Amino acid sequence: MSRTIKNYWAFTRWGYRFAVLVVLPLSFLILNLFCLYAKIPLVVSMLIGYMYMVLIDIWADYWILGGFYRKSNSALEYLQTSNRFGRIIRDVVLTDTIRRFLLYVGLYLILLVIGNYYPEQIGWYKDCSFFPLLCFVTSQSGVLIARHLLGCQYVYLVASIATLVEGILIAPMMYLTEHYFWAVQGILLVLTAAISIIVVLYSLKKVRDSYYDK
Amino acid sequence: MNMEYVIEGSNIEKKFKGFTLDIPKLNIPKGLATALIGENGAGKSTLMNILAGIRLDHKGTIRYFNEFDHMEREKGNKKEKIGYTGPGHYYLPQWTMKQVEEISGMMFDGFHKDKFESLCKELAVFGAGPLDKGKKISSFSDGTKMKIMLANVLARDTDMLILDEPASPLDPLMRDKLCEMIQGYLEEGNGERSIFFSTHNVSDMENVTDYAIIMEHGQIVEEGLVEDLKEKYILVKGDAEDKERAREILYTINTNNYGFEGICLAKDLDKLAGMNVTKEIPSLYQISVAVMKANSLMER
Repeated sequence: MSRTIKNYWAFTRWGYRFAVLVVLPLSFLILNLFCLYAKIPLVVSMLIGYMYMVLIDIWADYWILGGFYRKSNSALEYLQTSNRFGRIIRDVVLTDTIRRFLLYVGLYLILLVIGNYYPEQIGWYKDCSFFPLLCFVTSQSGVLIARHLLGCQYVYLVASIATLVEGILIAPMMYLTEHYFWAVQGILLVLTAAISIIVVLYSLKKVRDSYYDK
Repeated sequence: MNMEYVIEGSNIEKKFKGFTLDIPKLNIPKGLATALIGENGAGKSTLMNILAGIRLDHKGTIRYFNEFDHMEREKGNKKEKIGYTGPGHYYLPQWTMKQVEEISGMMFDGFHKDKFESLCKELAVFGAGPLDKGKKISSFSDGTKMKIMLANVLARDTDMLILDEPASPLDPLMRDKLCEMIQGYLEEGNGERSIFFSTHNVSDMENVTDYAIIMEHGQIVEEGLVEDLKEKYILVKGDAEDKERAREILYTINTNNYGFEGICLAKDLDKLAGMNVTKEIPSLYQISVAVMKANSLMER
């Protein structure tokens, strides 16, 4: 386990870690705590918070594996010279996936615990319960596309589109959650597992493909 | 001379659109520095990529250190013994020096962080300034990137280095240093280490080259120990009046109003009898150019 995290750590820079592991969750918490305190419906801060999280998370991924899935990526030559190339990439992608899941779900759970002190907001927690998994699925899908691109402006474009898609899905999902709570959670859970497996396996396929010109 | 080989390849073939690498037999001697020389597009990088194991879509078999073949190379930790540097984008562009160091440690057990840092200092990667590990690789010049690659590969425990165009982006002083490093690497290995490098800077690298392989349009057209090649080919200079007769005998010839200069195969020297010619030992550069000229597809 420690090797897996070490590999992820080596692939991420200090600035990335600070932004994604410290600034992003802290901003999210501060925004939501303020809404709780000011009695602003939690759905507002959750919606804004999660949308920004997806946007920044996809964009920031450029600094770890930007352009990694590109066909004939000559920048992989050094990694290709090691027998551990596949293992290292698997570790990095897997840890990044777990990190993303824990971040999205963990922040919701922290707010849920704090929410006990704000009974008037409890109703919103049920309505927003699909946010973490929906954001995770959107973010993972965005990353899957963005890693084919070189140039952070293109990655930002993908991040923006993913955020937009997420925003469009919010209202119908809220409606569905109200009527079919467990079905929505179940479907999102299946999608979460599926997109996580797809991202890891696709990354390993790209590692294998990188050794072949055709 | 009885030679042991660090790489033995047979029937290596790789096809691209309009180009085929076709090498029926490849032997790279153990304990020596072997230069791979050829025109642009001759297939040098393709061959090096295949040997370094970063291209797997080829035919034929390659045996390393008389221990394992190219299929077995992909298993376990066999690539640990082979160091490779290449032109172009070798590292992911977003990496910093610190990441290169840390990721190298993850990739190779035999990577020595201290040695890497001392080599970076020795090669003045950061000029007169301190080691700035936060600096992005993409912000360095091509020459400095090559220095980092060399420092990286030399900081590992390897038995063979495959260096694709290491001299090209380097200044003359650094090329001299590169030769020194190649010699040092081989000496430290006591005959167990080998280097295979490609180069267009044949003159600069000649003093460190023991064995040369010359490639043209995907095939090996000449190879041998440099000292043997210098016996096989003779540099001949003669007067203008003999140039037409010499043209029929010489392997390659350059002429002007005053005379001619060309490379002659030693076995054809007798045919020059009666001409007023001087004979000299050619440099590896002159031999290479002659062999490339004789086999080139370029119109002359």
